[in-house]
Amino acid sequence: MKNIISISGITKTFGEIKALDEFSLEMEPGIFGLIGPNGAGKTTLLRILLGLARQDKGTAEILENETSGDPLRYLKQIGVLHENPYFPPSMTPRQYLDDIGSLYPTSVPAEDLLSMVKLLDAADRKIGHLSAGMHRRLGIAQALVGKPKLIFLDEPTSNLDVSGRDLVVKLIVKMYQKDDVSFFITSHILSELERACHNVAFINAGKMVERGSIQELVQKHTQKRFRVITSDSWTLEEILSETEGIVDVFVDSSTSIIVEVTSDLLTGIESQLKELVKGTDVKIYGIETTGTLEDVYRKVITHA
Amino acid sequence: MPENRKDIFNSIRLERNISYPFPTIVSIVSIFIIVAAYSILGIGRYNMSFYLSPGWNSTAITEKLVESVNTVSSRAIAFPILDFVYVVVLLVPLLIAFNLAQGYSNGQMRTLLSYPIRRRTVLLLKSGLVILLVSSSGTLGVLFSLLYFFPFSISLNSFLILIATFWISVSLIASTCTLLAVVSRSARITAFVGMGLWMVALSDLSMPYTHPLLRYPLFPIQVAVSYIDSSVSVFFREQTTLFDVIFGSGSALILSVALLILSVFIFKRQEI
Repeated sequence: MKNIISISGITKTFGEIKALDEFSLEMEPGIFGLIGPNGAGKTTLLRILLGLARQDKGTAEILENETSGDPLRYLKQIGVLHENPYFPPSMTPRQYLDDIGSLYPTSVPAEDLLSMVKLLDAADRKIGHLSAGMHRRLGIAQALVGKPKLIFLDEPTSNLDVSGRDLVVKLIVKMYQKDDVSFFITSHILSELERACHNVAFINAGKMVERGSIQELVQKHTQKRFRVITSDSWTLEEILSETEGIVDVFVDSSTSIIVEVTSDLLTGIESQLKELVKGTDVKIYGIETTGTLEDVYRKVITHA
Repeated sequence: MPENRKDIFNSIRLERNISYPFPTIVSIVSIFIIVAAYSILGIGRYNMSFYLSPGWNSTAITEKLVESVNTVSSRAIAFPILDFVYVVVLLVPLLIAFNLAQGYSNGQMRTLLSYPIRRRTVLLLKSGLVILLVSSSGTLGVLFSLLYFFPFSISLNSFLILIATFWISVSLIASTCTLLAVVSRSARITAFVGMGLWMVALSDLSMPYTHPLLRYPLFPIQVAVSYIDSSVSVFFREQTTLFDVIFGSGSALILSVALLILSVFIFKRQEI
């Protein structure tokens, strides 16, 4: 399968700060997530890919077009939603989508897009009067307007409520499955990336620190993580923090705690934990293996 | 990949809808009509009389009347045009600041350049529409007031010369502010420095002690007004020739084109 994005050894510095350091990435058609903390270099990478900034070193290609060349060659085939996009407050969503659509060789009618993002009721309201969530959904609609092959979404679900996020995730998956549209998504909300993405990469301080399919990464990084169902997670946390062989303890809720252990504690973990709480009021009801993208994030970014 | 005519037309429509919603255009046109009407009303301050000599026949009287009406209508164009300069040096930097420089900070530039539009097109449309809007509003303002106060007496020659130099002056001010906006990327700097520079230039460099080689290209309107009727020009106080008008307007036009080319050159290499 041909790569739709190829990045090779990109370096970008702003004065003393290295925003990207020999960053390389290849993306095949599909839904790809780029994960990293604030200032990791995600937005800089996006700007370079869109031709808005130039790298100091390295090359990048989108849909087989060099990003340092004429950006018009690939801008007609992609859609973009920036983290803080600007939409003219005095225009209506319908008018704006019509105008933007006319810039592309073929476009989706505004009516269809607005219905897709559930914004049809507000089609003729001024954009300046829309709520933050509606604004975000308009952003998704304008990224889809030119029937793109590849869509860049920078924090697509920020400002959205739970149903709004569900809508966006479902839309992304549906567009990939039905229309073969690929997505390059950066987001802090990892649960959504987990639901939508096929592959993810972690970026920290301008460097790629990990990449792979979500399943692979979760398997690789969270095999020593367990969720412990207990009667008192705060007291259990105190006990475990002072125990040898416990790498990380995280209180999930008042009755649930996430524990990461060393290999020595892996065998017979449940009985070992029960032994530890003997003589206290804390009860352990059960243990299950746990592993989410968030756990992988903690492992590769927080503990990096 | 060149942009075709349809792409450019669609980009113009988008830029107009983004930057010039209906009330903005109406307000700008109204400002020019009010200034034009107010300026034309001030013509009465200037004495213009002629006496019938014995022996004049009806043809001589008609010729004298036509000449007087032409002088009056020329002044009726020159007065508002001179007053427009003050509106333009305030309005153009503000429009460029809000429509171009502010785009760097509010995300408009980043959003626009992620659509299939060339950088050159974005910049030229933004400053071009300011030039078009301000110049055509000024032209409309003069026409409206002339037709209202002096119907059927427009001196076409004076009208064309004054309006052409007005358009060129607007272009020069707009291209200066465009360069300022691209270099500073700040709406505040563009507005205040743009207005300040042109106000200082207007109050200082337009005076007779400034060398014509600097004065004429910077103020082609005043050169044209002095050519049409030197008694109207409060700045130059000298009779200029048609050659001066052509020299002033031509060099102002070349200067504004050069400034726009420089702005495009910088903008194409800028990181957004």
